[in-house]
Amino acid sequence: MSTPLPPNDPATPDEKLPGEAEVAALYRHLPRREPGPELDAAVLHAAAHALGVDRAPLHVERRKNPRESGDWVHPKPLSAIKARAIPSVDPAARARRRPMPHWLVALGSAASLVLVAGLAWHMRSTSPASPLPTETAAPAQAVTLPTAGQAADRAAAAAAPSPSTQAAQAARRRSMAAGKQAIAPAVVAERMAPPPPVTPMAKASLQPQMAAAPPAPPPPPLPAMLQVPAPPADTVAKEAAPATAGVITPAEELARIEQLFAQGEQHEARQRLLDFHHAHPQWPLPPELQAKLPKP
Amino acid sequence: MDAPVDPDAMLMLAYARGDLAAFEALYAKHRGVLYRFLLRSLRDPQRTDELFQETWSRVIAARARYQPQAKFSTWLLQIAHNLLVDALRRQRPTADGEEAELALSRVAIPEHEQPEHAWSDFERRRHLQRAIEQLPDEQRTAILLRLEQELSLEEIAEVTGSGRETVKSRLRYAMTRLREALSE
Repeated sequence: MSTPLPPNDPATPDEKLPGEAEVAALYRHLPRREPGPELDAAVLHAAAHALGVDRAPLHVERRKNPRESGDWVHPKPLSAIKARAIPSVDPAARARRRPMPHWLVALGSAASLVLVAGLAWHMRSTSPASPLPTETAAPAQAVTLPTAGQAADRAAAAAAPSPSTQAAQAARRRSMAAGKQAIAPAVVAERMAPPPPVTPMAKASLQPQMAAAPPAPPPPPLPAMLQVPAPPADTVAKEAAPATAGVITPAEELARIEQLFAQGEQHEARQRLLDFHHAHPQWPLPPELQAKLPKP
Repeated sequence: MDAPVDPDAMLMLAYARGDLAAFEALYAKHRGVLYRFLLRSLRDPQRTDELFQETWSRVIAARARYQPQAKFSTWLLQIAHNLLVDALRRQRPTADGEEAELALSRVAIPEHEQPEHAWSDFERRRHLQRAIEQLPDEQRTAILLRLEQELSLEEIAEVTGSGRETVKSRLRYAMTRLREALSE
């Protein structure tokens, strides 16, 4: 090394000053304080840090407080401390966690699909019936009762010769649905009142409806009440109460029958009379109408 | 004839090359002497700690450019003295006699030196302590370097940056005051 080294020459001591020996001897008995361990650690750590040495972190000894036993605290180095890993944050424990089985995922997916399909089927079954085709709806409206299920059955029976069985079945379904939702007064009125004959007005109103369904032949004569176009099933209940206002009393029915006889409509008058007598066997008939009844 | 090599300078050079153990040996040898020099000059343990740490920090920072042209102890004390002069310039009022006496009483004294056994020595040390504290800064530094470090006139002059005769004069004045204090 080319660096010049300093001389270490202790051979040239200075002459002592007067009284220096006594003072120096007494001085050596003065308290000899030294830096504390914290200061030592700080300096040594700085020296190591300057060299880039990865020295262990400071674990500084300190003088204990008055309440602590002993004189000095000697903390353990970090390498001597074995802290227990927290399971929730330990990556190794997280990696060891058992994964969810695949069959469980598949089973859950299948159960979800079944549930969705069942709900869809239930919603489809409870939804309103799809409207019928036009060519079958028109005859159905013409032959079904507005409110009474029995009249609908009778209409369906009357429509038996009709070549269109689909129309009859549709009428039967709609009349059954309507009958279920009809209110009791309407049913009572229908039972009490015999079916009126088809009036010219009713025939006239029926013609356009029949024209709307050319394949279907005209139905046989029906009571006037049956010739009213059937409202939708959902509107039957709403219109049931006003329908009772048009109910024909037995006396009126008898007057109409007499009128039919007077007009020469013997067949219709006799049929309505027979229906009236079946419906009201206890109703006292006039002698001329009593004579028109077929003999038992 | 080659001059003897200062072993402390060799340790410092070894530390500059990355030998941490060399520094630890160097520090163990000079820590007490440097600390007492600062403590007796400042009479403030807290500030003594600060200057002690600052002195070694400067040694560490200067390791790369260290040139062993003087003894390591001289170089170390020179750094400490410069810091001490700066500290004394902006020094707050130092501890008075009572505080210094209290600090002195905190130090454990061997039982055979307890007052009832050696009252005169204890009193003499108290007088010496007070007399050193009451010296002017330059005289106190010179006498501390002489008594604590046992430095020569030339070394004291090098540390303090003064002439040899100046140092000798300061030492004479200081020694006279100390003897007077001890004879009271």
